[in-house]
Amino acid sequence: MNVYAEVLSAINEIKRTGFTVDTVEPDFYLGGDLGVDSREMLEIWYELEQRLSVRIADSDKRDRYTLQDVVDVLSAQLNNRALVA
Amino acid sequence: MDSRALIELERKPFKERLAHQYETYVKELEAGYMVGRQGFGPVDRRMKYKELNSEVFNEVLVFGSNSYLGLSNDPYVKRKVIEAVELYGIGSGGSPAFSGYTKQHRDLELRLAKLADHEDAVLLPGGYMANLCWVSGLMNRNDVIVYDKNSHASVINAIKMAGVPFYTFDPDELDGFERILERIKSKAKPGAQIFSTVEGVRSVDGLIIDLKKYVEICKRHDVITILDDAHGLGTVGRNGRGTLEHLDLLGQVDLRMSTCSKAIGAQGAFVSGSNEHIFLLRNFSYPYLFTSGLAQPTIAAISAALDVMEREPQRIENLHANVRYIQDRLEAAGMRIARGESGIVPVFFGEDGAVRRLNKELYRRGLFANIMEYPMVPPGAERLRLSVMATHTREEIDAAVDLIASTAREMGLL
Repeated sequence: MNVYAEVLSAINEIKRTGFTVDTVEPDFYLGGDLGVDSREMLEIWYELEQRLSVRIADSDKRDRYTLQDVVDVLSAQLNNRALVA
Repeated sequence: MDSRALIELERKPFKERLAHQYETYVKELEAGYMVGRQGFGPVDRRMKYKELNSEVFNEVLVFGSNSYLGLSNDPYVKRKVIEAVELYGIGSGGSPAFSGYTKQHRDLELRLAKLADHEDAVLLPGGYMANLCWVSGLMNRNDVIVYDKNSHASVINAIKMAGVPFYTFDPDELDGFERILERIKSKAKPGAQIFSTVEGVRSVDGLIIDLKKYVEICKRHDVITILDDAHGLGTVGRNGRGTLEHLDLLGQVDLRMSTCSKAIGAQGAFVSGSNEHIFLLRNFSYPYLFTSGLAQPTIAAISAALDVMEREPQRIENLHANVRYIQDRLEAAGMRIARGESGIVPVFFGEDGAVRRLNKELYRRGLFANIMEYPMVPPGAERLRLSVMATHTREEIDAAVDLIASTAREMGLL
């Protein structure tokens, strides 16, 4: 599963933008580079939780500044789930 | 409510959403929900309050007011307000651009500007408006702002309204802040101005950041700085001039906003800065241009409060002595606190929902305090937020601490 592509797709759905792997980099900031504020990010987290069938604690959603930060949180959760399974 | 429940609620159709929210409110009210407690003035160390579903006003000990210097019920301030009403009347009758600007407004603006060693200032009806004012007056979508992650909701709203690209930083990680600035500069369009804002005294815990280092970094990167000193004015600095005086940084930030509704004990807020920056706000910032000027009693109350602050610096010493005393007593009673230097003293109770239950019981037993829960603070960092006043007596502080300790112990929280 390409978590990075899912993150971009979820942002595009909520923000009605058209970011692709060719137009952004993983170190792009959610706010300054992509225009996503913390309130909108909660919606994007919700969308990602549905798509990837994971649950992320609210405390893990805080202070995530870049695309890579979001990918890391999701990947860690998916890995944990794989290990438990 | 966690963020999933919040999003699910927001996705419901409006009428369903409204019905759900109102039902929840009614249920909480029946269960003794405490937001919206109604006071019966004047605001002071002891006040009468009633719950929404009760008709009886009971006297409580107040440790939840931002009137840190006790100026909202000061005899001298009240007398000056009455005199001003006799001389100048009440309402300003218009926006500052039309008829709502008087000599009294001008004199007060200059006096407020001097508190930060600035040249000029604009007055606004409240802190929310003051934050809207500097954001929308200074910047547009061709600039960039880097804001303190603890910034007030009004700053964040204003940033969205202005459409200025935004980055967040953690004021406890200033090296990370500098890295963000370097990155922005490496990618920014030529001519893009970087602005940055930070809270002086943090509203959530009363702590003060390493503002000297922050200012140095900003100067190095040609960043225009705006200090949000809403909780600093009147509570820190030898003469109560705020965070800049406290850290010997007067004149070192480009703009400073503060409110007159907290330690000053009145209402309204202001933004101060250089003649050029304030010219921009006064002439181009909609929140200033399209709002009525402050009423004369408010102008008089703020001016009189500044007189008292200048004349009685011991009020600030008393506030600090009271803060140290309550911090020592809370710690001695086994409570976990953050030791700040302002009038805000957070007491942490990590267990989910604990602060809400505790605060309800404290109120029932005669103590008025506030709480901060998620999402205002991170999950697990819920707290009772005590606000100390210069005028609290040792007996009142002892009574408050003893009540918190005994109630928390009875509830198994300590």
